[in-house]
Amino acid sequence: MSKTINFGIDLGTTNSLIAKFNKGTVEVFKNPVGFKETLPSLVGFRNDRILIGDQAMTYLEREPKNVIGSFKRKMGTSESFKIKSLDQSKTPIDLSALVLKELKTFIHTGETPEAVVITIPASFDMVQSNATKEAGHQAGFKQVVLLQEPIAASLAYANKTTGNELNNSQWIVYDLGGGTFDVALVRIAEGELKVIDHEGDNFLGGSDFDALIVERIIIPALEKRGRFDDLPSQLKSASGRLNKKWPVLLYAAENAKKVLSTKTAAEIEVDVVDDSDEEVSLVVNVTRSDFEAVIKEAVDATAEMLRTILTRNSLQPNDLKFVLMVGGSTYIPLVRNRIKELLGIAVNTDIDPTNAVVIGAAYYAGNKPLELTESATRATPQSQLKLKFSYNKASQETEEMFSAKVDGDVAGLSYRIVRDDGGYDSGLKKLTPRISEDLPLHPDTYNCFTLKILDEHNDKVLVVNEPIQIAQGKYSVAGQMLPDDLSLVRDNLQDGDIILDPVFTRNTILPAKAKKTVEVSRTLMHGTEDEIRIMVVEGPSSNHPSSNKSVVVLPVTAKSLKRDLLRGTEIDLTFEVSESRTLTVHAYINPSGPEFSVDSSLQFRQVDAKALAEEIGMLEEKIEQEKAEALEHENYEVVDVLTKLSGPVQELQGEAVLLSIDDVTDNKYKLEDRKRRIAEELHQATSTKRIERLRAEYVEVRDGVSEIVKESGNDIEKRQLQEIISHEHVFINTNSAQRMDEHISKLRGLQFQILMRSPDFLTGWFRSLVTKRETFNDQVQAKNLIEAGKQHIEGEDFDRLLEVNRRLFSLLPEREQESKDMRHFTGIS
Amino acid sequence: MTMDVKIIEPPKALLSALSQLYDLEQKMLKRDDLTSLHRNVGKMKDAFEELGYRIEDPQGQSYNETRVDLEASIAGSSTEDLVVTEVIKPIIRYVMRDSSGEYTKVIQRGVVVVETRIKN
Repeated sequence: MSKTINFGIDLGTTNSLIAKFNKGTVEVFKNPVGFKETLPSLVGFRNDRILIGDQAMTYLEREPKNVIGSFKRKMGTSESFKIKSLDQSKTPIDLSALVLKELKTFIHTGETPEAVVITIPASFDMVQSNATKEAGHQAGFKQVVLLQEPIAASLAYANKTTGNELNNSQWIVYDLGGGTFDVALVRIAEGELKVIDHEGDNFLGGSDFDALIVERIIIPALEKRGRFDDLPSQLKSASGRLNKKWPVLLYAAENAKKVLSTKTAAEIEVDVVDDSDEEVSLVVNVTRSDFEAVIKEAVDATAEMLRTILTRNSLQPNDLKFVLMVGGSTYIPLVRNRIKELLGIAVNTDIDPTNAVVIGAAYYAGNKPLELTESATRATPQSQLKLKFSYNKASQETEEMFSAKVDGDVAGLSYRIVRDDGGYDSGLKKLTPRISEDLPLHPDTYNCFTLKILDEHNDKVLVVNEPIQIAQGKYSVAGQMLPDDLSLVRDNLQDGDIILDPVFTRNTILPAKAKKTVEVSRTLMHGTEDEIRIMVVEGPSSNHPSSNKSVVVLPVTAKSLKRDLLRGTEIDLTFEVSESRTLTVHAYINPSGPEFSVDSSLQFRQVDAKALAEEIGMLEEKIEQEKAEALEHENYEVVDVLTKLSGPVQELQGEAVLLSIDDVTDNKYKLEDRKRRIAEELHQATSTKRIERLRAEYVEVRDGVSEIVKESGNDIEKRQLQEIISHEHVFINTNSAQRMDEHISKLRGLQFQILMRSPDFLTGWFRSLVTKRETFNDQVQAKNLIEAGKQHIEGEDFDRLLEVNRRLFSLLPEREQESKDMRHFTGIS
Repeated sequence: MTMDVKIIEPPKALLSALSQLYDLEQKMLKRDDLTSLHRNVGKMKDAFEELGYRIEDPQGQSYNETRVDLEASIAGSSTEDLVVTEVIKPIIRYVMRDSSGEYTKVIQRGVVVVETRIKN
């Protein structure tokens, strides 16, 4: 089978898009920053940089001599654009080529296409068409195939439908975009699609509608409420006092316009200061009919153009199959209704109007054979360039100078530096033997930049593998770093164990601050001896807590409480580590009454004798439990190691019991060290097995949940699953049992969420609850709920059954609601 | 240092909720009688951050043509020494953490108005 072109580009007057055909489907590529499919067809020249798309858009109105748009309208003319900042001219072909090159950066598959289908308006003549082809060649495409936009849109529709319903028929493609309007008569005869006639207005589109909302609805509303002298001019003039509100209002109007496509009214919040220095705040309620009244004239003008085509071709409305709606502005109900009403032709809205043209182009490209000769295919350029960087790797500044010395032939090459977080793009710059850039730095983090050297077609000659990394803010060469993870110890109620929740990871630069919210896992009765513990330990967070060093224990005792601290109450914890490594833990409890907090500023290392004794007890149990499991699996090597640990831990237990709570010697530290070493040995002996078990469990749970999500999940749940799976390669290789546990738990949560909608599950849950009827706290209420539940099952009212189940569950005594293995060590989970 | 994780495009409704939260906080800051609500808003922001979503307020930040985390409209006639003076939508970053530290990626560009900095 011969290869096909596959790549399609909609090179629009206002916006451009790129898509790829692959095995029967089309993917429209998105800008990797901001995820927009569209690239504004604008090119800007500023401070020796070339800016394309959104970056250029900012300067369009203020620097019209340096930012060029709508050059598509000039394709094929001898006109060129004099660029003030370059002091040279650029032709529409040059500018189109730059847009085409930029679109290549949207391709995330790593391909560099050498052939492409580019769409052109139906109105383009031979010269304009050839100019578009030339732009394609300039952008590095060896084979350029042109396709008329109405045909592309029709192909997008044809590929969505089945059968031969379009055969020997004709229809109108009505394309009302952001800034231009085109209408074309398309006919299919003997399988061949042709544009028969067309009309258009290059200065009519959705952005005009936004301006109309501001001018005719918002401004009059403001004038009624405040004192303004010539408000339109104050907003629109660059020197106007309220000029900065103009884009804000346009943006609000655009949003309202979108809302009005589906709702009958929208609100626009406006906040300005009038000429008397009074603040005018109002919410303008825009109804769909208000909006329709202001755009009706413009919409009717488009209908008139459509009518002209019919008259010119001696056609009656019923000669047409439909009017195919293309362009974002065709979402507006008035546009659809008015065309239908004025012309009596059915309106077809089956395709996504925003990307139909590029989708059609990609479908066409998917069937168009690649015709590149051997000599035309470009060999991957082998760069002989050598680069030497010079920059500070740590900085307190908001930007840092980067320079590089380039050895080799730089003729015709350019470079581009982007920050990997999507916050900075140098734009295209000419490569010279020495380059320098001021790189802006995102605060308090590592800033990673990528330098690409590009040829004249914007194809990569070289991606410099040496990363440019600059640490900003707290980072410095002499910066204090945490030597190990600091983690909070929490109860793992499900496994009856304790787990580590990392607060600060190793190498965190000090000072550092973090917050966490935990829940009280059992009720604390005020006035008793009971307590919960906020414990911070130091050591690898992937280990078991008992193998880490205790750093801080902050007890919250029931004695200090004015009332009971109910199970489920949230505690906000704030952790701060100073540069001199002092850890401060602040707990804030808000039990729906007066708020209070406890602070603890402690130097590293604190051991609580009572907690130590309990931990040793848990360690002993854990060793016995692991030993039993290893025996069951005939893993005698592990059994041997664990047996050797039993003696020392029992000895330790005896010594810990003898420690007084307020022991002032260093005995407790010694005991804690010994406990830690035993725990570390236990962890080493069992962790591989645990990780392997969790990996297998994760895969099993993931596959099971995938099945359920596929069958019964909604879009959000599908996305949640996709997100977990997309990160699995990170956590599955971390050797952190906790992270795997977390993801297994997330998957189970998702599964539970879906099951909660399943009648079988809800019925089963209800029946299981009924078996516990004797234990319910309130028998009368339980009886009524059970009766109601039975009726809901009979009446198949599962939403109500869910409610009954929840209420019955809450009537179970606390111990029943907990897992049977549940235990509390810290009292927080 | 860079984490090679493909960022999944977040649902629009989530970005919209985050932008609304930012608006809410800005409105609250203008009112002296709503300070008791700051903790709640702070906790909502923390909860979103735990899910990996961080709101960044670009108000007052410098702007030039190399910033791709902002979609800016320029007010006034000068285009030099620009600073953000109105935030229509905040920047939203997706935050990833691993043992080597934190890595963020812009998932919503901020929408802002910029003006030439007023010199004192």
